Amino acid sequence: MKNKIEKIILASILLLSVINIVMVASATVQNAGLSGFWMKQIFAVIVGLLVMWGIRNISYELFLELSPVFYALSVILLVTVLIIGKDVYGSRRWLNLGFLNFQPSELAKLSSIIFGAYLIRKKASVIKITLSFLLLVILVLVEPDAGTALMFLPAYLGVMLVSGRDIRWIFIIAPFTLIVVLTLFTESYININQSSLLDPFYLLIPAVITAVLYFVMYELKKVNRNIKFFNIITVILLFWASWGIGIAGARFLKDYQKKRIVSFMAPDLDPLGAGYNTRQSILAVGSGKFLGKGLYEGTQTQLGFLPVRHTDFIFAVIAEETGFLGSVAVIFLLGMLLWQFIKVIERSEYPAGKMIVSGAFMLILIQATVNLGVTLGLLPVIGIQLPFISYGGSGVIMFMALTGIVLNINRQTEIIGI
Amino acid sequence: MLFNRYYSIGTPSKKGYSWPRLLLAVLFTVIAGRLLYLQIIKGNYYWQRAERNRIQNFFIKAPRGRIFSRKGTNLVGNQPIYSLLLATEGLDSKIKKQLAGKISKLTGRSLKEINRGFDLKEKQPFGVVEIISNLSTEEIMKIEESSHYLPNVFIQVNSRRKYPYGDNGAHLFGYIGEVSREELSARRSGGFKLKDKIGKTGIEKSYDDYLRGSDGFKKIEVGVKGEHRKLITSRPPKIGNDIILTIDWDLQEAAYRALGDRAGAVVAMEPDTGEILVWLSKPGFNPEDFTLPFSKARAEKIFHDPKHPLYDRNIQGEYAPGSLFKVVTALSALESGKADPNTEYTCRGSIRIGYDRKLYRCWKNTKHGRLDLKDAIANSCNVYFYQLGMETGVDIIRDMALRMGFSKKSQEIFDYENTGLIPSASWKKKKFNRIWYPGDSANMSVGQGYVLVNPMQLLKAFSAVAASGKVLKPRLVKMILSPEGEVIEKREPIVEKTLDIDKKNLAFLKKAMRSVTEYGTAQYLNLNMDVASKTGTAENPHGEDHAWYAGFAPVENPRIAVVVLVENGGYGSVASMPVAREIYKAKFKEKLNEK
Repeated sequence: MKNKIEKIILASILLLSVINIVMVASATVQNAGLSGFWMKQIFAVIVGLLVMWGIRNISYELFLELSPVFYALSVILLVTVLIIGKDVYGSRRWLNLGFLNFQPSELAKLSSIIFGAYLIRKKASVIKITLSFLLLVILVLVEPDAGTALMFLPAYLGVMLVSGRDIRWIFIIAPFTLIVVLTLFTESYININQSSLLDPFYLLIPAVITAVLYFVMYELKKVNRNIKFFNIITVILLFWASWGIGIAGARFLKDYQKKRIVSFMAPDLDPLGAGYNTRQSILAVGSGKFLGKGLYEGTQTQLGFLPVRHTDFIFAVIAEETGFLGSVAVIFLLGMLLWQFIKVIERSEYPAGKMIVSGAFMLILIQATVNLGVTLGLLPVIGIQLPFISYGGSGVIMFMALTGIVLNINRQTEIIGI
Repeated sequence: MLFNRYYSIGTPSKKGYSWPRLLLAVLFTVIAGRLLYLQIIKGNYYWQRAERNRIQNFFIKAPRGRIFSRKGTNLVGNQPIYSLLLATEGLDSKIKKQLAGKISKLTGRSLKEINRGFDLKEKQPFGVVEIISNLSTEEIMKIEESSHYLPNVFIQVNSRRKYPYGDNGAHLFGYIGEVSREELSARRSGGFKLKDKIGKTGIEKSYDDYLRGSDGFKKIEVGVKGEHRKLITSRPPKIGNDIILTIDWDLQEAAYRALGDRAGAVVAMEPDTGEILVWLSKPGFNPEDFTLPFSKARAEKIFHDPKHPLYDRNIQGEYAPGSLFKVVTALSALESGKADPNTEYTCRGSIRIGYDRKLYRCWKNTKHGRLDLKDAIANSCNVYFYQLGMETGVDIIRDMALRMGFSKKSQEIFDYENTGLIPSASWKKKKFNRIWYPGDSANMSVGQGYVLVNPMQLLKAFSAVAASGKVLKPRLVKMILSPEGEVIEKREPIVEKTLDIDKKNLAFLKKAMRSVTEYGTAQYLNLNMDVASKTGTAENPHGEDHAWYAGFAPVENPRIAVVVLVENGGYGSVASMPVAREIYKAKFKEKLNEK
């Protein structure tokens, strides 16, 4: 039993790292501008593994105590990147450190989890904790990098869900906030195309949702006595209120503001070539069939049809060149890794440790799921990387560091010997 | 120790952490299920679509075969045309605008014309569009010089059908056009694609299978920007076969010049081989008008011209044959025994026929007097033939006409022939509910009334007389050559049938036709050789008489038979005979010079 979790985690990480390097090499071999990327990736993976092993041997308590420093550093770097960051396609995400480009938002994700656990231990109020996350979210949003900003949510949820704090409010506020944001965005988007959510056709959507809400809650009411008819009405009214606020908000905006919102929230949503990236990605994945076309043989990848293939769409390369077998293997490895995280959460007696592992678990799970969902055409294009697989040193090293902390928490649990 | 401290702040849920397990299982199951769907269930579909993504088919047009005269004159060929193309992939409107400006400046063409090509492209966002369809050599040089500054622009060579002789022989060659949907579905096996060119009339249509080559193709692997990566497979285009016609272009040109601007038809053939030497119908059209990009105004002009330039008068025109038909009447009378060469009738300039004593006139006011059959033919005496025809009767004349090929298709080369009409008593009864009057027989015997024929039918009938009863199948194609010049097919004479007519009667008819040239209506032909002729002047209810000439030469072992029609030309001996004279002169140039 001893160290089994650690062994599986290490094995998964090593295999994922190999896949990472090979697939980055395959994705960049045809592009002269990206030559040498696989070498950089080997370097990043080695650094990441060393960092992971180093952190494994240092008590996470140290990081917990130092987390305000990390947090402060993250905020400073996020502000710095806004001022002197490298401008890529109108977005400032990277700091040029000469020999490599560093992405402060990755450090911010890591520090947010540890600092969140730290604040909970310090008995900070939920509002204070929430604000600490929100500050980072806002700083990343203005880069702008909506995809990464979105990833603070699972991290936050991961930490809070095992904190023992009452966060039921989040399950009430979050959905309605989401509805307001989504409605605002959708209304802005379809307003540009001379249409409105107030059109009779679109009014079907809230009508159907209302019916579903009523039905589901009515059924729940039979099981759970705490649910009153009054609750059902409240939920439905809240839903319509959020829907209305979203539309009203959008109507209040000028046309250029709407366009700005659309391009801000979904920079990849290109109205002319709508769905080009997704289409090419699905073609790549589907055409891989069971065994794939072979490494370096994927036509979608090698001929350049697949966009941003070494980062956001790296999984499409895997699916095309190694087929269903290879794709499922990658998912299995990620699943194995996350399964061990769950075990650590369940077994750890350290509340702060639990929170950190839970935050790490949620971050990796949701980021992976969103990335795969985009690649497989289940989600709109949101630009985020696949943990442990996508090209990018900052991301790989951050996720390895996070795993290092998980390994340490696991090790301390083992030492106590539960 | 730093290592062993922990704080028991926060109360973990008592139920254990089943939510992470559930979340992980649900999310990854959805992902794996989606993979299963995309890669296993729909794998083949997406694989094919990815193949289509990477492989582009480029067709290489095969030039059509050329058409030559029997002596090797190139009558129909191909001309390379250069067009300016633009690959539109990844060009935004600003670059397009700049390019349009540059191209306009280089070629001196108006920005409007250039932009027309650019606008077309908007309808097909990916791929290649034609900006200019007819680049001059000068323009090509200018564009190639500055090709460095013209990204995405390139020049393509195509071949365009070329008819160097314009409207001369237009009906014979026909024209080509884009394949229609009906043709496409009717000949799907022929490997046609939309926008392919196909022969619409003439030789271009009848011999389309030989002339049309088969397009080649290249399957090329392309990258995302349309750049060519590697050739996967290819097939070179197969050039169409060349056709050597039986047409003698010297004679055709002589006929073309002689006919001038008048409307009419000229056909000539070798009586003993069936090889057609001249095929001219006027007014004509320029087949190249159909190879230019379609213009509605131009098409309207051609299709709705009151002179019917598209009409091939040789086989589509239906005319009263006039006195040419007297040959048929004479033969029927001789064969049926209703007359012999010595049968005489008297011409007093006119004759009263039928119960109503209607006056039927001869063609000239002076009386021919008493005539035998030969002189009646030589002088083309109508009064003689009225009497002979009434004596012979409609049924016998009609029977002979049908045997000589009237009222049915004279050839199998073109499928749009109009067959004319040889009337009968029952036909008249059915059509007009009137009985057949003796006057009808009189009219019929001089090729008037209801009789309608086309020039090709006449040529075939006169050729049969020339060849002593042998009817040869008319042929326009002598040989078919491969692009490399090898003979693929050689067409030999085919005897369609031999007329069951007494050789004596045919010989008499030849003699009579010779006398037409010697002292009769064609005496001003004035050639130093034996020619058998017959002239005709057909009354035309719509205007001036149509002028006819038919004949062959030499009388013994004839080498050529000719039929000339000049619409509204007046007297056959005045309008049509000189055209035939030019053809005889061209045909027997050496022989006539010797004498």
